[in-house]
Amino acid sequence: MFEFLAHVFEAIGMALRLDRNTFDVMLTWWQPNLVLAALVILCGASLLLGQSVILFLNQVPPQRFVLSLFLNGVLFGAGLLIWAATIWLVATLWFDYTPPRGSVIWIICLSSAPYIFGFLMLIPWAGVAIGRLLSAWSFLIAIVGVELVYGVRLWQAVLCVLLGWLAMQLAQATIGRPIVRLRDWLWAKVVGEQKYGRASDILEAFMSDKPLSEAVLREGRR
Amino acid sequence: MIVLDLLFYLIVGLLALLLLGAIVAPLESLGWWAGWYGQQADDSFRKTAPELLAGAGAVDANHWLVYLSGIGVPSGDQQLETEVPFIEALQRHLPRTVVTSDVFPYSVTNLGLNGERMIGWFWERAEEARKKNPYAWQTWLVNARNMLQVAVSADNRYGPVYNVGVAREILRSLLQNGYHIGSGKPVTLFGYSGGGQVSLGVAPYLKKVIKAPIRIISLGGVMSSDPGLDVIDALYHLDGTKDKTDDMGIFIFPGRWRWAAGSSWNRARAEGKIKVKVIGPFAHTGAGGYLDMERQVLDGRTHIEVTLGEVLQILKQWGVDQPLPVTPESLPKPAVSAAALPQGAAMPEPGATTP
Repeated sequence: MFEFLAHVFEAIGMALRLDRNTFDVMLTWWQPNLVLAALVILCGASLLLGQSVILFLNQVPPQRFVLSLFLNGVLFGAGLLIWAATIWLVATLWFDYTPPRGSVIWIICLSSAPYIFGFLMLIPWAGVAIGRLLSAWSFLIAIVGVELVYGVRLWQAVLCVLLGWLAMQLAQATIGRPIVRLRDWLWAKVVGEQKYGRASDILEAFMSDKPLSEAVLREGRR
Repeated sequence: MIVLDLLFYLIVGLLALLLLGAIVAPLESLGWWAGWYGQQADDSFRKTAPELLAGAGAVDANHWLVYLSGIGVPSGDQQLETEVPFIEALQRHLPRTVVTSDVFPYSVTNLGLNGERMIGWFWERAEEARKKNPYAWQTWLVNARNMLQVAVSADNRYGPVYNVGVAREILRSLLQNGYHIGSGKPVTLFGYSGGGQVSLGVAPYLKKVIKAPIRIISLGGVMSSDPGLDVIDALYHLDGTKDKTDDMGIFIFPGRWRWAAGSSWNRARAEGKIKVKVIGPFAHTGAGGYLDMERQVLDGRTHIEVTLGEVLQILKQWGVDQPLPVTPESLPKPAVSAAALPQGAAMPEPGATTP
């Protein structure tokens, strides 16, 4: 167990350092796929912890809060798989090379490593900037991974990752709609009814004509 | 070598402590909103709310002034020694104003640091240490903790939750001090240091409920481009040439940068709502600060006298009261002097920005 956890954190460390030997090292481990799955769930949970304001705003009780962290880890992993699929598609159409099976999934899972620091997004004032930094770091890992696996130039890797990301956004708005609906349904089941999407909704609701204002001041919350 | 190692670990430890404090800073208000921490404060308010909303009885006043302390304050009922004479002087010189100062602006539930908190005992000791020596290291921790709450108030991800909580406490204070909702009587929020940001943050909520003019006086206030600027009637910012703390707001909040077209701050400035006045060679706090009762400016007036005079002048200008003239008898008298400080606690240099 300890060895497994040590491998999870070693994989995170290597990914953060953009270590080009990461794949070779991981191939010597027992069940590297499980290590990657644990990495993704851990990073997804940390990311949601950093973005957990949404759970607090909607008054999610502590038990559901923990469950939703786990669910976010799983959903985050599913999102990465879709991104990996779109990058694979772009790369297959563009580059004249077929990499070993699953290697794109490995790249994208490893690219989520910076989100292990996702909880730092909780920090007031600096949290938003930290979030952007982590996203940029994640993109960088994905780019270096594509460059390495496909043996292409840097600009090609950059374009491939960006096109893959764009294709994913496009798919979400078109053929992927049922999947998005399923995700939203699952999320609503675990988290409950979502009244506020962001904190400023409270201010907007308060300033609107609804009788919310006095009620909030009387009762503290709704 | 050992000393260097120890120093390294000390710095790393302090940074880790600061990081931990920053991460948990929004959790108090978020947990309160989510109802995670029990309902003590909510319950007490709910029980008394109907009576409060009916009013606390006839109070013959035209104007209410809510004093929100600087970040050195540990609770709503324990103002700093330097602030108490100023608050008392305000009340003495404003015959038609009710001055309230029982809101702790750095907690959504008005729970002082030494209240029923997990580490309340620690803050209690910190406060004892501060009373013995205003520049004890524990004082910095109180400052850091409260400063992080100012950041929570200014962060648009958390601000609305935090600010609605503090607004509720201010409303409670107003009602307990005889304010009648619907009377239309003006309210002034006086924010010292971090209290400036909190004043802006709570303004929309208060304005919506009391439906009366809300103005803000900021004494060296650290402020963001808060949406509260859209609803207030006026903001007067008093500044000292040796006060660098309030300048922090200009640098760290992009909404206050000149080229941030359309930000609440720049809009309010364009509408003439914001006035800034440099009132003297004052530091943010401590000796040489705005409320120093011993140091004098060139014309012989003490710092606190100048600050008091400026605040009274603003309130007169706004037409909310007819302040009484400041006389030697009406001025606050020094309670803490160099001689009164404990042995070994040197009087700080001008420009010190401790609490």
